[in-house]
Order: sequence, then structure tokens, then C-alpha cells
Amino acid sequence: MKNELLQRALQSTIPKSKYLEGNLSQHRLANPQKPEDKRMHSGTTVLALHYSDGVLFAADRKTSNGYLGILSVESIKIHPLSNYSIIGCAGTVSDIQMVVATMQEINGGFSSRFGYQLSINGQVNYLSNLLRDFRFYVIPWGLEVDTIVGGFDLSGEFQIYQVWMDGGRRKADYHVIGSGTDHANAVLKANKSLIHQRTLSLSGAVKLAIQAIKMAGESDNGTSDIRIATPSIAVVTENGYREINTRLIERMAAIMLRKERHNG
Amino acid sequence: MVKARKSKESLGPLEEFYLKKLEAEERLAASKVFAVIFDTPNARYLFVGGNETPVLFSNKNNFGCAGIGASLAEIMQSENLFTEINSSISAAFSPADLHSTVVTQFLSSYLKMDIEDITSPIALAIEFLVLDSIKSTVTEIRFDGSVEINELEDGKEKLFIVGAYGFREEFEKDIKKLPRELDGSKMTEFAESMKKKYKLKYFTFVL
Repeated sequence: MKNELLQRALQSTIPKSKYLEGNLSQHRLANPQKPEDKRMHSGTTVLALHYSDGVLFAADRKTSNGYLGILSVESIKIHPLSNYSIIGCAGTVSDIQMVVATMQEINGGFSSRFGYQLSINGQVNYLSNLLRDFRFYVIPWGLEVDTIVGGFDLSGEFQIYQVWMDGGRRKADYHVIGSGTDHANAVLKANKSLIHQRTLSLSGAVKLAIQAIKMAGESDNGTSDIRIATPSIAVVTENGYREINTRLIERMAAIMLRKERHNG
Repeated sequence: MVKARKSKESLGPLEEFYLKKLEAEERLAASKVFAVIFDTPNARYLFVGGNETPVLFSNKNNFGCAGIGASLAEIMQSENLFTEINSSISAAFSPADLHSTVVTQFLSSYLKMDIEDITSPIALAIEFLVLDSIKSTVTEIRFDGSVEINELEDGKEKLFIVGAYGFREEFEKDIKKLPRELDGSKMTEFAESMKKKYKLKYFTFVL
């Protein structure tokens, strides 16, 4: 077997992102400037959980501008990667945009070239390698982005993974990332048996997600309050990716707030 | 003005490639190895055999693949190629992402590059038969990198063979006599009769 031919054949077969082309160490910064230690890494709440028909992703809408400023309350933090997979991100906007573009490019490349969607595990592995490679070869502190990737693939199983900025990953029934993690996590943890048994209906899962983001928004400076910005919610079922209508989420949030006021 | 080429003059590198291809073709034709998929409405036969054992590899429920070659060394190389693409796709994505289309593209481009490689005088004489159980297709990959994709259709009989070039016509007739219901004992009988008739060393079937 000729090694040179083999490498050329492998390179022409396996799609690779333009960001990973060539030797990454060529891009290593000569004098990297370390960010301030007190820099805010992520001000948001993004969560994902299993429900009876698939997986649900929800996120607040706020993009912070430093500690005290708000850049936007209309940001979308969950994006489709393919017809059957979603990514939710927390971190620095530029890094998130780069990671999402790379993942969409690689998914599109694989499915158009081979006629199959990438498996969820395959997408997570690629993302994990991307984040790890950046840390080792380009900048020592890596990309400032925490992600949740989930969806459905040929294995017939719905999966949700959390991928940390250092490339580590974990598969679980639900995940929360961002500065509002503790508050939203408390709500999901209280309902973990429902999530684990996959008995939540779509409306039940949407209510739980709104409740979790509401809790985070009321206590965390980096997460938007649901009274100001309606959270964005998307699901992946066996029929594919679908965004939940904003008006429906708005109405459910309003009912939740009215009930809360009524109960004092 | 372009001078007219004298007849019988060498064609240069083109002739080299042509001879290289011809040599590989002749070596394949001389060997007795084969891989067969015979799809009938009620049964699907997959068997390999010859004077060397062809290799079989698969990826769980995604696809199955048989590789034949003119010599044992070349058959082992076909297995190495499969191992390479398997480990590379597993490292980049996951083992579940090794589909028939990925394997086809890799093998086809490797074989094409091998034929066109001017530094090597001998081409790799290996061929593959890939059965994709998800898309219901059978792909034939030839030693020169050319690919033929055929669909399996419900209720129709289809026969796919790579190899067995020296006795193809008669062999096809024998295969078509197989029972239309899968039967282990009859298949064993068939294997023995084929071994005797064509003087084969190996005959392996998957039910």
C-alpha cells in the first residue's frame, strides 16, 4: 500500500472544514494575549432535554455587551445543523458563529457527498476535535464556546451531548449551559425522573423549558427575563427539525406569569 | 505545423498506463476468486470463493463488502484499505458514519490513483462488491476505480458477480439453479459441487 496515495485518497474522501485545512500549528499566534481573568465567558442560558417525541432545545434571547450592557434581546442561540440535529451555544459571539458555520458546513458536506446524515456521535466527535485542536495548536485557552448538540440519527436513538470548550463531552438526559446554569438546572433536576422516563409531552416539555429559563432570567444578569424577551425553542422529532411558534411560547409564558401572580 | 506521427511509434506514458491496466486485467482473469450476490424475492445469497479466500467486512447494519484480488497479497491489501478508511472515519466522526458510499468513494479514488501512478509499474488487481442494506443497492468497484451502482428491487431476481472471469458464463447458469428459498443443507451441497466442478480451494457463504 502506497502511503502517499493512501493519504491523498483519504483526504479526497473525508470532508474537512476549511478551518482545519493544512497544519493548524502554522496558525499559532506568535504572542498570544491572554484575556483578562475576570472576563465574562458566557452570559446566557441554553438547555436541552428529552421528551416523549424527541429532544427539545431552548434558549434565552439576550446578548450581553460586557457586564452592564445589553447588545440585543433578539438573539437566536439554537441553530439547526442538519434536518435532524441542533446545536445550542453559549460563549463569545465570534467563536459561536465560527463553530456553528463549521458544523453546518461539515454536515452539509457529508450528506451531499455520501447521501447520509452524520451521526450525532460523529458530529460531537468532530466538534470535540475542533475545540481541542484550537486549544493545542492555535491559542492555548481555545475557543470560548460551550455547546449542546443533540438530535436523531440512524441508530434510532435521540441523543443529547454537552461539549465543553476544552473538547470534553458528556451524554445525558438533559443539559444546561451558560451563566444561568445553576438556576435552570434546579428546575430540570426537580423533574429529572419525567425527563429520564421520556414521559413529558411536547407542551409539558415547553412549559418546563420556559419555567427553567424564567428562573434563570430572574436571578442571572446574563439571561433575559421572559417578560422582556420570549425564549426560542426548537425540537427534533422523527420528522426532523422544527421551531416552536414564538406566539405559542409567548402565550404559555403569559399564562405561567398570570398563574404566579394569582398564587401570590 | 504539427508533424504527423509515424505509425507503430510508442504512445509514451499513455501506452504505459494501458499496458499496466491490461496486465492487472489479465492477472484478475487468470485467478479464480469471486464474490457473488444473488437476490431473489425470497432469498438473498452472498458467497465468496476461489483459489484464495476473498475477504468479507461489514459495518453492523450499514453495509457488507467482499473484496477479491489476483493474489493473496492483493486480497490482504484490500483488507488493509478497508481498515484505513474505517479508522480514519472513526477518528474524524464515528464508526457509525462508515457507510457504503464512503467506502466506495475511498476505494474508487485509491484504485484510480494507483492506476495513474507513474512510479509504479504494476497496478493493484482488486475488486469489490458492496451491499448497502439501507439503500438496497449493490455497488461493484472495478480494479481501475470505475463504479457501477445497481438497485435491488422487490420481487425481481438479480445477480451480481465480481471475479470468476475465466468461467463466468457457466458459473452464472449454476448459480441460477439455486433454490429460491434459503436452505443451509442445499447450500452446503452447492458449495461442494462448485468446489469440485471448478477446482476451487475455498467457498464461503453467508445465509
